[in-house]
Amino acid sequence: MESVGLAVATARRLRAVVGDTDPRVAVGVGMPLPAPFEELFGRGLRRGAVVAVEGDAARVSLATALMARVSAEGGWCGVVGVPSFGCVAASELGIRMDQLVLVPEPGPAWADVTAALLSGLSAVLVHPSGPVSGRLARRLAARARQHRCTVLSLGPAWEGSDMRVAAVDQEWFGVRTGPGRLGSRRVRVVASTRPGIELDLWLPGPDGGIGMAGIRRGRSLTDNRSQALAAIG
Amino acid sequence: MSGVRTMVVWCPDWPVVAAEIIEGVSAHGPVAILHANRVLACSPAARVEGVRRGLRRREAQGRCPGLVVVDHDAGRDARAFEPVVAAVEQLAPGVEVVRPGVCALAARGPVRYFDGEEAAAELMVEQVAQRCAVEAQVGIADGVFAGILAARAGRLIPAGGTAFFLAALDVAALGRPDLADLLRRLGIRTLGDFTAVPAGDVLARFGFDAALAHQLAAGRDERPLAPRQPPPDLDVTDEFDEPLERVDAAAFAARALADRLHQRLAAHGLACTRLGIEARTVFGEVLHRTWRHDGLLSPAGIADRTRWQLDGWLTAAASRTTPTSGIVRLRLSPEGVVEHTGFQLGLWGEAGEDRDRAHRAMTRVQGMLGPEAVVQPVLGGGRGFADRVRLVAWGDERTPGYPAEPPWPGRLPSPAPATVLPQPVPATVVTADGAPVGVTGRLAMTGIPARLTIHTASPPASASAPASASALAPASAVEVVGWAGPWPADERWWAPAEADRRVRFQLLLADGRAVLAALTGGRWVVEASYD
Repeated sequence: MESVGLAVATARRLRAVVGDTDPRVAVGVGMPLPAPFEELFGRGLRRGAVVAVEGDAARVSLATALMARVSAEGGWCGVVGVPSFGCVAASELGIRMDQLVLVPEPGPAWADVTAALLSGLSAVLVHPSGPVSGRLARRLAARARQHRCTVLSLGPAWEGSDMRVAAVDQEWFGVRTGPGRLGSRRVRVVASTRPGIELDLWLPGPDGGIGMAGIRRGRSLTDNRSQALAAIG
Repeated sequence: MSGVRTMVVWCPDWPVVAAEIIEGVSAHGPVAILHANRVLACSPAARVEGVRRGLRRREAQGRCPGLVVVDHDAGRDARAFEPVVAAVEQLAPGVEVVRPGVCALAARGPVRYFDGEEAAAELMVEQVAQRCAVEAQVGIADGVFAGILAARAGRLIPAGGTAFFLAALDVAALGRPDLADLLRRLGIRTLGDFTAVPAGDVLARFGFDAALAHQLAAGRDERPLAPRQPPPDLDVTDEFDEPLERVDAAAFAARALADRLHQRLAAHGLACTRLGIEARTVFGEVLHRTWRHDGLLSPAGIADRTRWQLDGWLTAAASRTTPTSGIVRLRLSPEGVVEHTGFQLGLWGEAGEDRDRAHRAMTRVQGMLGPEAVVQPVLGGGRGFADRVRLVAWGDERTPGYPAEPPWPGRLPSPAPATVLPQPVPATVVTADGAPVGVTGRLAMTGIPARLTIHTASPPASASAPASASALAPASAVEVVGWAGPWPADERWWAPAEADRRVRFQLLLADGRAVLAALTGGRWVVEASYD
C-alpha cells in the first residue's frame, strides 16, 4: 500500500518535472490568453512556448492580441525588430505601455537581444531578420522554456516552433465609399495544434476589444481553407 | 530673560545680488526685483532714483527710466545664498538660514575663538567677501530678531543692551505692516512705546501674533537657533596619473568609482535617481552630463551609465578635430537623492521581482546596443498615429511628445493601424479611368479612388525594415473597394520649416487589407497599414 502511494507521488513529481520542460504538456500554469482564444488553443498555451504567427492578414494584430492578457496582468512584453510596431493599436488591444519595451533596430544582434530579453520579460514578439533554424532555434527555444517567456515570431520560418497560428482571412466592416470609417474587423484564425477548427475573431470588435465572432469545427472546410491548413501544417 | 547672544550675517538687497550671481544682471545699475507686479527689492542705484519697496512696475519705471526689471524667484535667492552659508560655516558651525540673504549663528563660539566680538564680526565680513564676493553686514545682539536689526544697522549691541537698542527703533521694524500701521494710528511710534503697553492688554486687544511681536520688541527672543545640518558630501572623485584614453580602461575606472559612490550612498541610507558624470581632460576641458533614471540606480547601473558616457566622450574625442585628450579626473555626483526604501513590492509580492528581472534584461540589451536602442513608448496627443507615440530610451523620464489634453481636430478615429511605417512609402491613387485622385480646397475628392499602387522600397532597404516591407508587399496595382475620409490636418503652419499639410484617407483594398494613405503636396503616401 505504501509503495503504491510512493509510486503515485513519484509519478506526480515526474509529471511536474516534465511539465516544466515540455511546453506541449500543458500542466500547471499556462500563459493567460484573451478569452476567445481558449477554443483554439485547447489545453492552453504553455509559458515559454515558441509560437510562429503566420499569414498575410492581420499578422501583427494577431500577435499583439496574444500578448494582451499577459500585459494586462502585469507581465512585461517586448518587441524586437519591428520598427513599424503600432503602439497606439497595441494600447487599444490592451497592452500596457508602461510595461512594454521596444528594440526597433537590433540589426544582426537580434538573436542575442531576444535571448537577453527572454530572461526578464513574460512575452517577446520578435521579427527575425532571417530564417531561424538548427542550433539557433534550439538555443532560443530552450532559453524561452527555462525563463517561461513566450516567444511570438512574426518571421516566416522558425524551425521546431511549438505551435503555428495563422490569420487566413479578414473582413473589415464600417467602410463604404465616402462616409463611414474602418470600424470592426473579423479575422479567421487557425492553429496547427487544432486542425479542423476555424475561429472567427473580432480584432477589434465593434466595442474596440477582442471578441469571438464564431467558430467552425470539423472538416466542413472549403478547398482553399484546407490548403491553408495544410500549408501551415 | 533675554535671548542667546546671536550673530547675524545680513547681505543687503539679497534678491538683487542673487539676480547678479545667477542671471548676470549687474547690481551696480538700477535693478528692481518684482513680485506680483510690486517691487520687492531694488539696487542702491535704483533707490537713489526713488524706487522703493512696494511700488508698482509702472511707477518704478516712471521714476527710473533705465530700470532693469527682474522677476522674483525664491529658488534663485536660496540657490545663490548656499555658497554664503557654506563660507560662514567654514568659520563657525551651527548656522541657521533665516531667509535667503540672512543667516544666524550662536555668537559665543566664534567670539571666544577669535577673541572679541569685533574681531569675529570683521573676520566674518571678510570671509564672505573673499569666498563669495558678496557684501555682508554683521550684527550681534541677544536673540535672532534683535540680531537682524543690529546687522541692518551694522552694530554690535553689548550684552544686556538689546532692549535699549530696540526701544529707539520704529514700529515698522517688527516686520508686520498691518500691526505697525495700527500702532502708529494709536500714537505708538517706537518699539519702546510698544513695550510700555502691558503684555496682557496687547494679547487681549491685538491677538497672539502681536503678543509675540511685543515679546520680540522687549528683547525677549527666546526661540532657540535651529542650525541646519550641512548636506553630506556624496561626490566621489578619482584622479588618474595616466590619462584614460581607451574605453576599456575607462570602464574599469567607472566600475570602481560606481562601487564607491554606491557604498557612500548606502551608508547614508540614500539612493540616487539622477547621476551627474563629470570628466576633466588633460587640457582642462570639463565635460558634464546628467543621466536620469526613473527607478533607483544600482551599482551596476551607475557603472553602466558611466561607461556609456565615457565611451561616448572618448569616441567623440577621437573623431573631433579639436585637440583633446584623455581623461585625468572623473567625478560622479548624485544629483537627485532620495531615501532608499528598497524597491516597492507589488500587491502580490511578485511585481517587484518581475520588475527587477525586466530591468536587468533591458539594461543588458542597452549594454549591447547602447542606451538609445531600447525604448519605451509614451502615448500623447497628436493627429497622425506616428505623432501620438514618443519613444523614450529605457530609463529616461516618460513624458509624452504632445499633451493629450487639448482636443485634436482631424485626429484619426480608432481602431489604430497595427503597422505604422517609420518612413511613409510613396504611392499613387487613380480613378477607374486612370486619372490621379486629388483633393480640392474644400476637401472634396476629384474622383473616386479605384486603384492603389504602392511603390515599395528596393530590396536592400526592405532588409532593414522587414516587417514593414512584407506588410506592404504589392508591386502592382490593387483595386480599392472602399474608402473613408478625408481627415485633414494643417499642422504648424506658423513654423514654415515644420509646417505639414495633409489629408488622410482609409483605403480598403480588394484583398481584404486596409491602409492609411495621405495626400500631401500633391503626392500620395501610405503611412500605415491596418495589419
